[in-house]
Amino acid sequence: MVIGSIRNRLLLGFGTLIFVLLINIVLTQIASRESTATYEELRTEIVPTITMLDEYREVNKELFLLSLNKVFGRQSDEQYTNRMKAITEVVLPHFKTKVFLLTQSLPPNDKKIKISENIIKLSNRSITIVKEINNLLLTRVDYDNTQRIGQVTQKANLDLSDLTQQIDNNLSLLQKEYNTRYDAHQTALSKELHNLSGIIFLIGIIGILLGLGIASGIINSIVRPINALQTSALQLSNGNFDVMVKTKGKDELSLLGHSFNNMAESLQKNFEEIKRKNKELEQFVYIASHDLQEPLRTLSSFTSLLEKEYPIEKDENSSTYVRFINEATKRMSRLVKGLLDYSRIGSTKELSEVDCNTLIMGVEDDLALTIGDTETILTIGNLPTIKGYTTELRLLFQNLISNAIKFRAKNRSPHISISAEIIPGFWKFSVKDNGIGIENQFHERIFAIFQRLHNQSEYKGTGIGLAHCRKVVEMHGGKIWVESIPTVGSTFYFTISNKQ
Amino acid sequence: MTKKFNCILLIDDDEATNYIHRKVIEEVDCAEKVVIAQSGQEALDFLNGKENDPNSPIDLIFLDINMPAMNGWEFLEHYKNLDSSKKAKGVLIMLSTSLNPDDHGNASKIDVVDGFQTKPLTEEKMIRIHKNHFS
Repeated sequence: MVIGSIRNRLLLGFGTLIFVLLINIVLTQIASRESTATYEELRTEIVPTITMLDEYREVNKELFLLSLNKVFGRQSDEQYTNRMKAITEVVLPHFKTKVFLLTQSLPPNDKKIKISENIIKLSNRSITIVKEINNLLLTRVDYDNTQRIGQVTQKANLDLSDLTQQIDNNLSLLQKEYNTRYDAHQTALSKELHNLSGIIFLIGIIGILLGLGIASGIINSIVRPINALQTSALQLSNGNFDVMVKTKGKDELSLLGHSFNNMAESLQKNFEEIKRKNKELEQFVYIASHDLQEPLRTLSSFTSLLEKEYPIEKDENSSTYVRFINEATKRMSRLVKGLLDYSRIGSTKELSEVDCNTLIMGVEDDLALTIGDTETILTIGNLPTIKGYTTELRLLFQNLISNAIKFRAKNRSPHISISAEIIPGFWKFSVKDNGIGIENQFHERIFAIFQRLHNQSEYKGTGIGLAHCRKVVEMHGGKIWVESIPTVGSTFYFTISNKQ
Repeated sequence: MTKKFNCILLIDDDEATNYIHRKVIEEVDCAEKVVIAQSGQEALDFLNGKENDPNSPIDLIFLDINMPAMNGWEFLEHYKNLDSSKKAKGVLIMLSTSLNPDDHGNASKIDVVDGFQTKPLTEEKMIRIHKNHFS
């Protein structure tokens, strides 16, 4: 595969974009993992700890209040005792364990360890005191024991009250620590999330810019040569064969450019060949017009001399021979002239406004002698002014009119009517005669060059006239055809484009 | 000439050519009669008409290829469909001025055509044709 081909360039471009997107995803993943860790710590450690400490404080206060009620409210119900037992034997040990576990995960110098240890120690003492109170006040009778009441009152009022206060203070201290941590984490989390969105935004922008850059690079590298090709093709179609497309690299478009250059080159060669051939043809036409006519003129001059200076009327053979020579010479001369005219049609291409009425009048003047001799009646309708080649159009009408006269019926003088009508996109002309007509089978053939339907002895001619007409009509974007009834007459129709 | 063609039919639109050919045939003195047709249609009319005398049958036809209206090839299409009593008893030779070798090739593909000659016919050519026919 060719390196730097469009295919590879596209693959490289899309590959880069995909790579940038992958980097984006990975970076986002890393950044969000950090935030997730912070959030997880908040969710699984800090918040539950704060909640647990709240509950601890509640339970601690409850135990103190229960104890006061037990002592001063003389509440010795089993319900009370059981709740106190539950707190001292289950709930508080549970919280203590939790606080202890907290200390395990902390670094050794953390001041929270000291606070926690205090809490556990103080809680142990308060549990002991509560148990002592319970043991002193087992039954209703115990309340009547003044000494016991005195002991209990002191324990509850002084010791337990003090302890509860201290525990609560410590718990509050610990809570404060965790609240601080909570705030710190909260701040960190929001900061991390902010950073994360910043990273995503930044990488996104970089990705988009990179993508735009790559896309425009690739588009340019494809579009530029195509534009160059298009410009060159346009120049080429305008006939400038020297165009060359500059090609760089070895991609598909460069190859196309190379092929284009080759094509332009071979076109140029062919065009030059055609030009050369045309020159040759022009040369040929010149030879036909001059060099071929020259010996023919000599032939006819000398046969005239022969006839004049050696009267040969008495020798039938000689006069026949001279007649044949004369006829052949004239025919040859006509053929050469016809060929020359045929090849010249359209060589001086100049479109102009042609008034067909004036044109026909000119033709009538040219053919005046023939028209007079044959007593031809020409009926000219109202003809349009068209855009065309004057000389050629004149030749067209002249050929058709002189054909109509030439192929006249023996028993009547020629009547020719010329008219025109407009049909979509064209002017349609008709040249109608009352001559000998043409059989159906020859309606196509008569328009081919050198095709004749009669012997020279019947009608002189070269077989070029109608070929001429067809060439002229085709030059004007039209068609020519004939409709005819043998012995009655023919109508030649032709169309001339009225566009432009 | 000991043996002569009974009748030779010349089919050519060019009067001068027909004149020359008739002259050549007369010089060689190889035919009792020469009939000239200036077009294919005229030739067909002759072959179908009363003038086509069985007592003086056509032994040889010279047919020009390039003629106005009905050319040589088209004449052959009509000729093939003629009643055999009306066709030439001898050979049919095509003539052409054209130097186009295709004409020769095309001519050799057609059964009724026995030969191909370039115009104009000369005495040498005529003698050779006569010799070939009667040998």
